[in-house]
Amino acid sequence: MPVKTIKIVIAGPYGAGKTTFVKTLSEVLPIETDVPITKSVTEGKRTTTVAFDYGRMKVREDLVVHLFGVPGQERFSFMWKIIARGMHGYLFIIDSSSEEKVKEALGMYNFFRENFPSTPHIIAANKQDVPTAVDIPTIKNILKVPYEVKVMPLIATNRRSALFVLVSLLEEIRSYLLETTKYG
Amino acid sequence: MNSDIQRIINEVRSSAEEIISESPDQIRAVYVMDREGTVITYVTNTVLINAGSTFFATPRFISSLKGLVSALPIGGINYVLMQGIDGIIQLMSIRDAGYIMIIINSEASIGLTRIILEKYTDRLYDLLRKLLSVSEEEVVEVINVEITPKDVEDVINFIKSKAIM
Ligand SMILES: Nc1nc2c(ncn2[C@@H]2O[C@H](COP(=O)(O)OP(=O)(O)O)[C@@H](O)[C@H]2O)c(=O)[nH]1
Ligand SMILES: [Mg+2]
Repeated sequence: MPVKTIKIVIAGPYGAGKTTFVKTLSEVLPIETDVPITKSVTEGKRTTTVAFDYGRMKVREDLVVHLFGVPGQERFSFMWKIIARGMHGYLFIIDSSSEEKVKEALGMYNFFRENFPSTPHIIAANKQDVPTAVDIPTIKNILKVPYEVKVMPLIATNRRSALFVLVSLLEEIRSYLLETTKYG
Repeated sequence: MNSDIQRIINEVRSSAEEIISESPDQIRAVYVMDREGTVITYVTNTVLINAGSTFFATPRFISSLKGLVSALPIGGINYVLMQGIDGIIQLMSIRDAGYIMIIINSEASIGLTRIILEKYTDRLYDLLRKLLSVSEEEVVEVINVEITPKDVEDVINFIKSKAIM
């Protein structure tokens, strides 16, 4: 039986909260965070350390979910496309603790919108626990978010909040598949 | 992360730096892009430009250029010149592998910088071909089996069963 893989990418600028998000989820969900070896890694070693966050969750014998966090630094921009290839959906995490931080996300968000125009995604406005946090309408305005894309508040250190955002993204992916495939 | 990819990107970056150093008083920025317009690397000449206005991808720009060119009887894009108020953009194709784009100061240096660009296309072509073939290989896993809405529903139910929300 072939194993099906759902690939979810966690994108967002450096410092937005991607690592925290995956870490919080792995406290409540059975997520393995070791990266399986790729072809290029020496034999005899089962896992390796890489520059992106990674999580793997087995749902059924024939179904796994993979989470890939992309490195936020600009100098990795070409890697974003490689890591994102074949993804079913992505979560775009931004640091929403100030307007300046939100603006920092614009270039990377445009990159994802331009390279993956029809991929289901959600924007998570992280660090909403910070008193100066920017509200959702302002974020939509700064990032010029299309009206059909959800912007959700997130506190990545909070389990309930992280789970809620992950499930919402999965729901987006599910409705996208319902619209675009013959299944139902 | 795949170290071959990193190494090739670093080599592309060194070439871009070398291009600036060929004419540091004229070339303000160098961008190397793949054939879809994704920026692989960019180098700005900090003496002539502040690095604030960077971008990562121009797929819409590249596809409209391709659209324009295919509507006109002039074949593929190998060279585009655009004049702005504060500078001039030169875009040159790296054969079928990608594009190199530079921003220069003045009209007077167009001829010289074009020669510089041509000098680097062979090297960049080799690097881009290598980058393409390395990145075609799986990064971690190749996804090919089709996912159904039911699969995603199973994931959602699984998460809900593991964590009381
Ligand atoms: N106040 C607050 N800080 C957060 C939250 N999520 C992450 N952080 C902090 O933001 C910083 C960057 O987070 P990290 O997960 O490393 O960001 P990454 O670069 O996107 O992986 C760390 O110091 C985190 O502790 C949040 O929800 N609220
Ligand atoms: Mg991180």
